Amino acid sequence: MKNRLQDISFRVSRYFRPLERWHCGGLESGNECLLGPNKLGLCGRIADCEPVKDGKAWRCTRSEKEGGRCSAGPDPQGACGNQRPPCTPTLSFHRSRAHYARLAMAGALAVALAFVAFDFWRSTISAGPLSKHHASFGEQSCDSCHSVAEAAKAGWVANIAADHNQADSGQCLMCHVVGNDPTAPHSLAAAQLAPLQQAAALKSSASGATLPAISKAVFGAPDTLVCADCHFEHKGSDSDLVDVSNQQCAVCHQNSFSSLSAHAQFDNYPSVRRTAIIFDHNSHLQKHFETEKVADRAPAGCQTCHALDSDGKDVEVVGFENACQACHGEQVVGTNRASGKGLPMLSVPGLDVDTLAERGVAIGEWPDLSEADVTPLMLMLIGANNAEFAQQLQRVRELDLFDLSDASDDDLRLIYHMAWEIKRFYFNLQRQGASAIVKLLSGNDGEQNQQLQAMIGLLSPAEVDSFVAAAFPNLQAETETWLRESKPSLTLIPRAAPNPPPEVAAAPSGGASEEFSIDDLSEEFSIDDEGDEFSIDDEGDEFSIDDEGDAFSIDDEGDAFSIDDDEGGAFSIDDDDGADPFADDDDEASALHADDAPAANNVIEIVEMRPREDRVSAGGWYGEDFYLYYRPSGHADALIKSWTEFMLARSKQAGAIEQQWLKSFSSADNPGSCFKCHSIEKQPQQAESMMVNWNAVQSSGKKAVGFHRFSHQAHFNVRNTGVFDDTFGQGSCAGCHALDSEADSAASYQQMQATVFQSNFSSLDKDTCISCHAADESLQTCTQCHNYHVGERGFAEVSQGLDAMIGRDETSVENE
Amino acid sequence: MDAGQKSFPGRRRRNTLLTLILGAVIAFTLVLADISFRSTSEWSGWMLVVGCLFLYLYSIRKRWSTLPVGRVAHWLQFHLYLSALVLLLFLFHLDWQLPSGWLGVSLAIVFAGTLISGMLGIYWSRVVPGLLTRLGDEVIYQRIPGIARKLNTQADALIMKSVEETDSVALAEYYENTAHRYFGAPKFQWWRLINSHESQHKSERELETLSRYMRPEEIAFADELRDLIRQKNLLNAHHTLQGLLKNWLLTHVTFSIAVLPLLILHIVVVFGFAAL
Repeated sequence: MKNRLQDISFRVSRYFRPLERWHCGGLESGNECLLGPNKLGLCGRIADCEPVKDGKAWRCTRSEKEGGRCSAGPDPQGACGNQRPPCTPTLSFHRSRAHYARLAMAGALAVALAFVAFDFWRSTISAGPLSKHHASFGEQSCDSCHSVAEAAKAGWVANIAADHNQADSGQCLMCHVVGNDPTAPHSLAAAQLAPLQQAAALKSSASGATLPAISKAVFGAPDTLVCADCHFEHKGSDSDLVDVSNQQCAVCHQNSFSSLSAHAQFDNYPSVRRTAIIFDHNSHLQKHFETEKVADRAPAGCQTCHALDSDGKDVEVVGFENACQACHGEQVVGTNRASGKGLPMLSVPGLDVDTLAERGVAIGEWPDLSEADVTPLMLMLIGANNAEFAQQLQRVRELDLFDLSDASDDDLRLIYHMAWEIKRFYFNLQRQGASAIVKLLSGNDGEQNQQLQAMIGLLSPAEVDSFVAAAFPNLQAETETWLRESKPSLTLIPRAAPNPPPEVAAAPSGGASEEFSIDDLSEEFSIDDEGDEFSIDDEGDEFSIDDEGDAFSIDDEGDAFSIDDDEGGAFSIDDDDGADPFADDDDEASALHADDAPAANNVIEIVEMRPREDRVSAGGWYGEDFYLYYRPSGHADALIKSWTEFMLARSKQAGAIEQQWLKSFSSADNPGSCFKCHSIEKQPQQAESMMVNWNAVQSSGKKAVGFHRFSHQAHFNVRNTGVFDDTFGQGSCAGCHALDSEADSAASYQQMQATVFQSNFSSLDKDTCISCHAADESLQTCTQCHNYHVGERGFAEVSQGLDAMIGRDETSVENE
Repeated sequence: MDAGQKSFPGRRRRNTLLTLILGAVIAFTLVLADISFRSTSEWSGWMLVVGCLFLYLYSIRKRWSTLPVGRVAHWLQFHLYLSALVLLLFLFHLDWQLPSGWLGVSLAIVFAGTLISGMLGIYWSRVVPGLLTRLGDEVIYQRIPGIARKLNTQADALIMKSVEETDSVALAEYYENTAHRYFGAPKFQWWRLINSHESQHKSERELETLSRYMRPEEIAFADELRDLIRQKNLLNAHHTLQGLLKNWLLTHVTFSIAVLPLLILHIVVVFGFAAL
């Protein structure tokens, strides 16, 4: 090398101080001065040296590095002869770095302040785009989830000190319903979780998960979890909000495993309870359609009765109308039922009026022809306002109301009060209509109770009037008198010897002018009410009522009323004047006398009189045989459903009357046959309450979910052609759901525990799942088949403002 | 070297091993914590904050060299290996995904810039000194512009002299048309990082080719010009390599300082909004 770039020998090279703040402006041109700028960054010197006075002369002091003494030398005044032009000092590199660092700090600070200072701060501080599920909130709606979002920004700093481990998930739960206890494991309270843990402990303890075991040993399983522990928002529209790893599941579970093959064998899966609808697949698929008569109605496949729900997850029953109506529709309305097509709701029970009269039990007029039982509802209604009386009424069911000769005095008093309360009930029913029942059942708020209104709504005043008039012609006068006399107490006549017969006690409503006589020996019965004669003489099978006064008359000797069963069943009714017990007022056209038959040359077809129960074939109330019946209008009859729900709701605190009513009402043999298919069961967690499964699947916006998740639609796609196969072949439904022909599923409904059952189908085999899922690790995640949150799921009722903000309506909620 | 002191490779192995062990412990702990639903983002975040504070302390330690808190060299080692752990925590904190959100992305970019510039700095501080040594000459970085100007002036003067004394313009035309670009302000030549001498070889080839058309008396001037070009190439190499050593630190410090305001805002926002 001939030349060096820089001679750095101390005699030649100037000493350079890189850490100095300022450098000479001539540095870049290679012409820097010796001393350089001062500390203020000003050019310090513009001469090569500072001459010194040596005696009388000035002497140059330029260093050898600068070339030694200059030839010009100092001037006479001592100024350096080599004056340089001043420069502009530059900041040293070292100081430039600090300068840039400050600039960077200022720039970053400005950016940070800009992020929070302007109106778009919500966008800038956002942790990222929301998932598609929450995207409709928009980036400007932080306060939808973050309660501090709109608070003063100083509040953010103060909130740092908050306890974040107990971060409040309340904002999430304002919209989301995730079980009863959302932050508890599986949203279950400890009491609910404990039996599951015990059951799990009994299963195999195969463990292939080492990390979760260590994690559990080090950190322990979490007692509670807040939403943000598992659900990570602001990860983009395609992010998975429920991305929980298998290991995270395993950290709590006693039996952890690392692959599906180690999973415990399924136990009666997917049946976790008996079906809500009482349905025997075996009998329907193998027995009921064997006869040629109904062979054409036989289901062609699963699809005949089942269909995918809207989201393709579940296979639901297509509904009564589509699946059951063809065979069971007539059963519901009782078309082919021989008798008893209506449910006996109210009644005027038959009483041993002779004994009552004998014992001085003055109950006024009472239809001695009634053979009706006192219905439980009747007892419930008349005892509704008096708990003590209601308690006493429970004895009524034990009495033989048709023979009270052996009844005790207390029983007779009870019958006395019961009879008058029944009259008062019908009195009120006539005057106030159906609301009288509603009030009895629910107090003064009854009229507001829509359920009760629906129960009673179809009971027409005309039907009530007709029914009451037949049973109690003078109900109004009797009841008013009884009430005016403030429910006179009963003074019983001591039980007499068989002879002579006791005197007949006058009914309170009868007054002094009323006579009442019973001649048991002659079997004659007569009532003379100031000119009105009423006589019954059944000697010789004759029956006569003569009421020629102002009341009514029935004379079966003439053309008014005659029944002659012995003469070939001729039957005629004339109700022009009287009140027929069976109230055939609306059948004028059909009530033709045989004597009024038209001439032979003008034949008029006499329409057959059909029983009253048949005349309300479309459903409704009707009175017959001193009963007020209700005949179901068809499937899903609102009244029957409402009554049932009402009684079930009362069943928890109900007494014997309600229990009996419910028992008789819910009999599968009852008209309507509701409970032949709709199972009744004890409510989970409320063992004393019962519920009716009106639907095959309880579906609503808040859907209760279990631990399992399964999409039938997705599995059709892989198992077959992507459609709901309507055959019973192994490639379709039966490929997974094998019918267990030996199972007696019907026996499961003989008790009220829904989880004690025998399914029509064999449990799914784990290997069936493994055959496909083992092919891909991603198909073996816990959350692929299991839900974490169990119980009620869906969306809470939220304010309309929030709904509007996120553009959600009820339809979308249901879809979600 | 004292008996108790390890050699540089020995120290590096020991420190690397310790860092790997510590990193594995941290990673394993975070994985375990994540399995148990602990907030690993919060844990890793606070560990990052603590790590960053210690990284910043190194800068303070350098400025206050009189503080009796250990040798700067040890602090540098600590700074380097802690940076590796901070990088691990940073990735855990991001959940091994790209960040999102303006603030998050800004902070991540600045933080990543700090880490990357630091890692490059480590690499260059190991490699560049060797390259500089191989150059065989020394020059103060700040004087490079002045020396470049001086070389330029010398080249101009040489060519003028050549024309005057040889009465030939071959060398002058070459200088005017081609060689002039070798001079001027110092240039950043990235290939210097791979110890390439292509620029020098290229000028050599050009002068070799040109020499066939030169008069004999011009050859001497050409040799002088070749030496000036070589010096300028050498100067460019110094400019590039020394510039790297100085500017990576400038970049690193700039990024690291810019992290602070964004980091504080990030903490405020995250914890301010954490409680839903």
